[in-house]
Amino acid sequence: MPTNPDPDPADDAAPESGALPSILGGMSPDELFARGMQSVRMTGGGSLQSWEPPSVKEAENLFPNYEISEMIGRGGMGVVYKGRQTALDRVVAIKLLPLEVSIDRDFGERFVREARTMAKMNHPNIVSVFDFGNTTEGHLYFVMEFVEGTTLHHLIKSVGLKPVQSLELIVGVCEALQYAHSEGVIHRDIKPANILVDMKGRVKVTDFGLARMDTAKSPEQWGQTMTGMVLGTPDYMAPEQKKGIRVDHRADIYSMGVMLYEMLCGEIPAGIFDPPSQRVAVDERIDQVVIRAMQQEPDRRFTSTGEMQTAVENIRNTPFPQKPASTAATAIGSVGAQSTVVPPPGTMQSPAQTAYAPAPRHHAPIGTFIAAGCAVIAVGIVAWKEFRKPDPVINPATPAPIVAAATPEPKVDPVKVEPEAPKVEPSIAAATPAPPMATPAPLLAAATPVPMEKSHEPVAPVPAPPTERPVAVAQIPVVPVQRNNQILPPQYGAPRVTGITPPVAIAPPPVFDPPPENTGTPLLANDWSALVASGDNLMRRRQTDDAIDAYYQAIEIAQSNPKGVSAEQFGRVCMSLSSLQLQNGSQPEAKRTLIEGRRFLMTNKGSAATIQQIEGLLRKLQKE
Amino acid sequence: MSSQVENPTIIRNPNRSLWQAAVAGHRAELGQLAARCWPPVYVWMRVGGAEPEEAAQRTEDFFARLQTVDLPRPEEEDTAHFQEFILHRLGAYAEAGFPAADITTQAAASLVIDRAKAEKRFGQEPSNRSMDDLFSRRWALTTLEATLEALRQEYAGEGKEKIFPFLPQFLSFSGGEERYVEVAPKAGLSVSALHVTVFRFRQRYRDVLRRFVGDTVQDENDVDSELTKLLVGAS
Repeated sequence: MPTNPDPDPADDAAPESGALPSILGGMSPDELFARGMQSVRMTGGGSLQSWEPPSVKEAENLFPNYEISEMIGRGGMGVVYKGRQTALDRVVAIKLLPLEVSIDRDFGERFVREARTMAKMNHPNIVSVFDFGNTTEGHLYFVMEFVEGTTLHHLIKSVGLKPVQSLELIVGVCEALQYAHSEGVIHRDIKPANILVDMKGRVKVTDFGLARMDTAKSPEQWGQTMTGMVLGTPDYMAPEQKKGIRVDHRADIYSMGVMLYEMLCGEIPAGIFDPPSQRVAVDERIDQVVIRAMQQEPDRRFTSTGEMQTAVENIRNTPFPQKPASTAATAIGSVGAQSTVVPPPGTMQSPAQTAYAPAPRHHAPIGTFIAAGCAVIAVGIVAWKEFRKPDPVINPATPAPIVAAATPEPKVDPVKVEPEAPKVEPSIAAATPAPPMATPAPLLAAATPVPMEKSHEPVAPVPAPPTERPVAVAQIPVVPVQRNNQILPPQYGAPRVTGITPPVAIAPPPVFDPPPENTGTPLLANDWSALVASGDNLMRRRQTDDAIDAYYQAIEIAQSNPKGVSAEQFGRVCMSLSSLQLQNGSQPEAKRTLIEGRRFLMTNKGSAATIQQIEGLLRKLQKE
Repeated sequence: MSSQVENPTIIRNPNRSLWQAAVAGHRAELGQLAARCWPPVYVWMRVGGAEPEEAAQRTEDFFARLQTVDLPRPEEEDTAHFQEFILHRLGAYAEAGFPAADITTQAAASLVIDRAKAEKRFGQEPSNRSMDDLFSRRWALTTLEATLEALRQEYAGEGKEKIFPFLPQFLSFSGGEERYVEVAPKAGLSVSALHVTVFRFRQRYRDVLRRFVGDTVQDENDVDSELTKLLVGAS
């Protein structure tokens, strides 16, 4: 970009083929059009966006009162730095938004609202906000507590959680939300990615960006924007929230029910789903907690998070009713029509209203993981979601380069390695095997050693949830959220489906061999080939979200170091990723992915055939 | 792009885009769109095999007919997006054998393209792309040129013509504080004043670009998707 403008630029461009003529000079059309887009739409593109955040050195100029040590996360919609507030000698995390986003009034208001809401709250289970404002350049930023740890989402997807751990963590969330609700604040975007777990195993709720005061009276105040959009994360949103009608604190309770189920079972409940006790060996009373929290009608849910907390505490503090081990084993092993529970209407049916008998979770228990002497690599995680990879334009940089490994010799990001395993409190980090199921167990923890089906499967690197960023959901009428793997199982009692019509995809469905029983190994997050292989494996297993995540990371690595990457392979990854994005219903992201693939191929001398293939897909996408 | 770029019509008529008005039968608005959007049509003609003069004449004839005998027919066509409409009509025009506009028609439409400029621009087009691809690319770039040209004229009208040439570079997402430090003395501004100027320029740029794009769609809610389409087309 020239800093000395041509005094008469019109029509004097270099004559080489393809050069931008005239007044456009050497500017990128991508950037020029991106400048015209509503910034809120830029949240989906993630790392595929062209925004280049300030370097650490540049950030130091922006924040003269802080020593910036490193960038701990970045994406299309923002960047997070770790720094030290020199006057107070306090380690902080600084969240900075791109200038073009900062000047967007709507987004800026949401950002400030988040900061103010968080700043008002003072609770050990809520991330503290110390300061916020605008930099000299106009970026919005806020400074907040630096949490050394990881996200609940990462724990669920990497090492998994034992039921006893899940209950302990959910109690912490209940406490945080009980406090927030008592202050008149509804979070509205409760999900595992918004729950941080520090090195002591304490939860910290973050990202009140969608929060509203409970006194809101207008649709705008409830979170519905003037353009008919509703903000939130579809998988965790209460039905009334999806409809854009008024929500209260019970929307958070619904989200907690979804989250608790995911913590216990490793998957989000969708359609008609098995209660937790039929998926994993847990007290059946937990089923009632989940069921009640997830009632379609707010009036039928817990009246408060405190009540939910009490219910959970009662389970934690009373003996686990005896349940024959064979029963549990049968339940776990017979996922499908026979074991699927069809609940009464409005009880155990997700908003998607789709039959679903989910596959057993695939994770290694955290206890096993820790007992093996592996360090969970913990990094400062900050309130972050919509930053990631980003979105609508945006989606993705990883929120933070988290690496978790379930092997004795985990590969970790050397920058992020902690010298010791996290000091998790006893009940969280319990490495001692609990009594076997056949032994009467006084506590729920006794049920956890029951082996889970496919527990031997490798742990795929899941650094961040691609679908968990806050998204703008086109509203009213509500369109059921369809996760790719939800359409597979037959509905209970219905004939087994033999043919599935896949979602429309611009790329022909990849032909894969049957999923291997045990493939993949724990990976370095900065390993292009490994991430691509992981993405391919996850795609074979139809773990769409995780596959997208792996591909996103791979693309990010390729963008930062294109020399080590085959242009052809990059193009293929982009085509696969765009296909998955289309399956998830995100055409804009699919387009951006393809555009990025084409750009990369053209820049790095990819073959004309691959470029044409991508262009063909783009044209097809445009027509659709 | 013509040196006399009009400001987007939406500024004057916030309730209706040019294309919306054109579809409703307002020929003047259709003429304004033609004045903005002829470069991609010329490129399309040239890539299709027409010689320079022939392409220029066909372009003029095409728009002349469009404003007189071949007016948009909303009841028969998908007129949501002007770009798609034009591309569709070009196909029909070619199938019809590129009929010329008669004298009366030509008189009714005043578009006369700058042949030298058109040909010079055509010489800069990539050589390995299809007609439709080049049409889309030129359409997108023309939109950007028009936006910046409108801004240039706007700044000139406000006596800020000297500062304007330094501003478009700040539309890029790259570069940090040092660029401000470097540019400020050349622009005769303090660094903080340059920050403010850039901030306003970016806002104004977005407004103008969105309005130019908005002029080519019937539903203003389509502007973002149209921008995405343009972004794709420009690549």
